[in-house]
Amino acid sequence: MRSPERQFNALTPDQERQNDAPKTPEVAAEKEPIAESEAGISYLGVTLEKAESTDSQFVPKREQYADFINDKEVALPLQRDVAVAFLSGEPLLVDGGTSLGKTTTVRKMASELGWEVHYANLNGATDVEDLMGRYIPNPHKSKPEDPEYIFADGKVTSGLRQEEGKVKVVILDEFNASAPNILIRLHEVLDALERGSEVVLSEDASEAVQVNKNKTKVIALMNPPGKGYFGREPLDPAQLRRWVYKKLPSELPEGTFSYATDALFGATPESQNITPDMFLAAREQALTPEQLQEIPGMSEVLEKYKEFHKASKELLKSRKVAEDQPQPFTYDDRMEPRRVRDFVLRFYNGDINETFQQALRYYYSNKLETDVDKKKLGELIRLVEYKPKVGESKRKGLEREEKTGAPETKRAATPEAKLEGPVAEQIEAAIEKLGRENVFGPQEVEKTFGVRLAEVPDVPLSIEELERAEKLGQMLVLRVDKTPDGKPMSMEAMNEILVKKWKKEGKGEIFNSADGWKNWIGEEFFTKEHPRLGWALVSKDVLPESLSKNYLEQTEVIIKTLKEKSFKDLELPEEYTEAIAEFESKKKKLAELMDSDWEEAAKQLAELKITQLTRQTIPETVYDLAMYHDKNNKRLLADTYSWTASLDPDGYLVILGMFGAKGVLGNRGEPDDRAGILGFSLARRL
Amino acid sequence: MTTQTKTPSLEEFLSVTAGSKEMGLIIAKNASESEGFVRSLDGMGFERSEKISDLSKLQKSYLVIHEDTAKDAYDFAVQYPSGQVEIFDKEQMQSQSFSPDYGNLNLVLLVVKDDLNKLQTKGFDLLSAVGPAFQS
Repeated sequence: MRSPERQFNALTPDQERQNDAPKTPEVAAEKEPIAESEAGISYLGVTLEKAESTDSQFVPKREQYADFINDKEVALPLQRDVAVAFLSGEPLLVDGGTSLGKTTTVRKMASELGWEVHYANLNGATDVEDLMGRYIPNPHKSKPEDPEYIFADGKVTSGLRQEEGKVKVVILDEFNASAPNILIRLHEVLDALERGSEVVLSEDASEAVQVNKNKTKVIALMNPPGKGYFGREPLDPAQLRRWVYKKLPSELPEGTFSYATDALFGATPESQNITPDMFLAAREQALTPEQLQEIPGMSEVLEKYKEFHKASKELLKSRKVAEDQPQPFTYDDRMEPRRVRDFVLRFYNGDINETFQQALRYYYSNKLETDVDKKKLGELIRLVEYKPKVGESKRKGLEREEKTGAPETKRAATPEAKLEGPVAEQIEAAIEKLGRENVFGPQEVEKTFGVRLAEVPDVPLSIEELERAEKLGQMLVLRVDKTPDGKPMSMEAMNEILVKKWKKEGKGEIFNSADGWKNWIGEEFFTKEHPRLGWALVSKDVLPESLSKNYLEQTEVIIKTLKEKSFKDLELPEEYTEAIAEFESKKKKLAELMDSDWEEAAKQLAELKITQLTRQTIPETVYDLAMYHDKNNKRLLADTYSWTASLDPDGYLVILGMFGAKGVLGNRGEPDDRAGILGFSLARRL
Repeated sequence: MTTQTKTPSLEEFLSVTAGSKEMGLIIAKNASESEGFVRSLDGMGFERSEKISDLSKLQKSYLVIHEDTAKDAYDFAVQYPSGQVEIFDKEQMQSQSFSPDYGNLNLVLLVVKDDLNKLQTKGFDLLSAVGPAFQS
């Protein structure tokens, strides 16, 4: 029986989930774009805390937003970006067409968080006193000694006053329709919020109101100037520098329109495919600026960022981007670097390239309207990355480590194994064909796991095979089966080695919860199973044609790939010929077994020679991912799962992937399962 | 064969604005037609709001827009679909917040066409802020 496609949730991300349902196969929901806990709401990963006190007429009622449509093109990214601004206390200016639901989105978020909303529309006939307050005849005067006049807060002032347990959002709607004197006054407010100081109410004989950006969030909304909106003149770009400026489309994008319309009419909208790159994750505790310099690669990234900033300004100046945007803006020399730094402090996830690039998308790309412009800037953003130098001499290595201040220096104090002879030549040939970043020989083994090999096995690959491997996007990995102490290179051992190393280097984790893994996969497996010694050619990503296929169908893809790609125009090695013949002879029976006895089918599929020759086991997958990330500071299988050759204690076939800063996730499946994010990495043992 | 477009009656229009998440707008050709609409609305059980805060208290209500109420009416109409409306009393310097129970409300604005044109050019884009509009 064919199973419907399903989304696999990790069985291993944390101990709590592991204890709840450790051994139940789950057909899980997608990672929720908006997730709620008792304490807060997470908008595409950015979590805001709920207010302690929500008893106020200014807190929007949650039931008003029961039919709010969270589409992935506008509503979800907008909520995420608003959440980032709220989290960091930065004032946000959102520029977009009327039908996009800007005000509704902010009010909906406030309703979920229990935050008050103080709204002011700056369009026409609004004066400074309406916003900041004025003296009015005392409505409570009952005795002669009562004052004739009292000061009453304006809309903004009431949003600025701090009250126990409350968080307030000040919405300044139609911001670009406001009078210049109002803008000047509001900018004084923003400056005070940024400094965490006081707003002096000149309207009230200079009363000073203490303000706090953690308690008051300011968001301005505007329709694009011109484009049929009367009374909206472009703001002076200098006035925008205080704001984090986000440009939304002028009209509802087609995808959003279609999705929202389907939802309105009760039709099931097409799946939105919320991808992992849409999520951000704030650190529980922000880094300090001093800690930034401890991040490996920071100085390199910083230099590239400076170049990027200049290049972005040049693109803007020459109107190669934002040519048709009616609201001019700048990439400010002082504000943008400070914002990017604060973003990194708050969102650093162990991968400096990823975090920095997220920051640049937030503060630079978000100002652009069209996908074409975003793509142009995206090409520059991709260049802001740290590429660890590989294969360099010991002397250079030390220099780099000393420069970054990473405590790796001591570890590298013993000379590396010097490789000579035919193996060295074979490795050089592999480097030439596959690229240095894709070859993991004895030097990398020593660098990542501290294992120095007395003897390095030959690389049994012809030039033609290497060329085909390059086309298949494969890397060459030397796997070892023992630690420097001679113990099995088990998942536990790899974890122990990498936890310390990666913590120092800011590379995140290999397992989020070693205990969770141990509970699920079994202590024996976790502490004893190890990679098989020798070289392997491993696909860096799952083969696209292996997605949405069950285990048997994937095996057919393996054979097709071997015949038509890996060994195209070459003679198939005997062991592969035998393995393929075995599979062909058992295929029909296996298909029947998958229907009648999936556990037996899983066992037999895992034992097939072709499986053993071409699929990774769990420790091998972990080993390969760790090697690549350690050398290149980049995670493979970041948004997919690969089906392994291993069984879990209940007889399910194990799936690994979604490798993020919190480690690699595990799951399991029956052989007939299939999912759009589940494929396999072709991993030929040599 | 000719095609005829039937102009909906005011009554039909008001059946559309009932329960809508946006306010309705009635555009009168002149003051005289505006008075006629007022009589019709009164006859159909609508209550006249003298000031903007009345709109938050009445289930079937209309507000006649003139120079003094234009800003308040515009602010109200712009916020109305967003699930919460903050009404600010400039005299008392007090804000009051209102959560529309859309299913049980029928709120419309009434404006004379010339006034509407003036408001639009002043930046009060009422036509974008409201939902269905009616003119005879």
